[in-house]
Amino acid sequence: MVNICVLFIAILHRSSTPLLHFFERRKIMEIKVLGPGCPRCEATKKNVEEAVTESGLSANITKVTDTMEIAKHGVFGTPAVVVDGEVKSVGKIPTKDEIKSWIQK
Amino acid sequence: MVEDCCGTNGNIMILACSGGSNVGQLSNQAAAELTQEGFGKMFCLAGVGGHLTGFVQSAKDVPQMVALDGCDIGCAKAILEHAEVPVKSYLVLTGLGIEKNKDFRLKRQDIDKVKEAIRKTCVEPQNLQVSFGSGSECCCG
Repeated sequence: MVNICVLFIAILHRSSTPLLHFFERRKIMEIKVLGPGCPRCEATKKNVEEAVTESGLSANITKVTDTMEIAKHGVFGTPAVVVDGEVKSVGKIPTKDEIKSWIQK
Repeated sequence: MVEDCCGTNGNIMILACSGGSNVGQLSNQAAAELTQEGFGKMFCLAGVGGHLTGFVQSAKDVPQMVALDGCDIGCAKAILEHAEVPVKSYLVLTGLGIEKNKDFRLKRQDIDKVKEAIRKTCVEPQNLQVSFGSGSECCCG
């Protein structure tokens, strides 16, 4: 009986690792575009959306317009792009190629 | 820190050492006054030192910046180099003939001298690491 339990646990452990990897790969990327709202930050958001689409990836893209929320990221200017909590660009409109280099790991 | 309109609005980022000496505090005071006068904007060197991504990326992406060190120990410069931020303009206060000491009663003429030097450094952007005078004693911490 004990041997069966040990065998069961061993099988479960061996199968759980690939399952964990599967779920990690499926984790949705979080991208924030910081900016109070103007043509520059709209252009940034458009580039982000197109880069994500062209990359065939899944991402939650959020536009942050609240000044206090933007300030919490410690950026000197806007537009700014944050990918999974890491600020990637500040004060300029990143190109689609730049954005793809951040999101394609 | 964030303007109503997108961009850095042409602001010069000022990163001051703010160290434990008269020259450290002179750099801080000059940076604060220049910010109030509309010449540039003081930013958080500590954030860069802490490797907080917003501060590091801001320092890397800003078109114009000046780093201020009180003395030739060069803590501000070291922080920026450690974070792989290119130092676009640089000024060391002891090189202006201001002697480093522990007297925190800052002289108005020294503050004005530093501000003028910062303005000139930013007009002619180059590594203005002036020859070092006094200030070899470490008084940080």
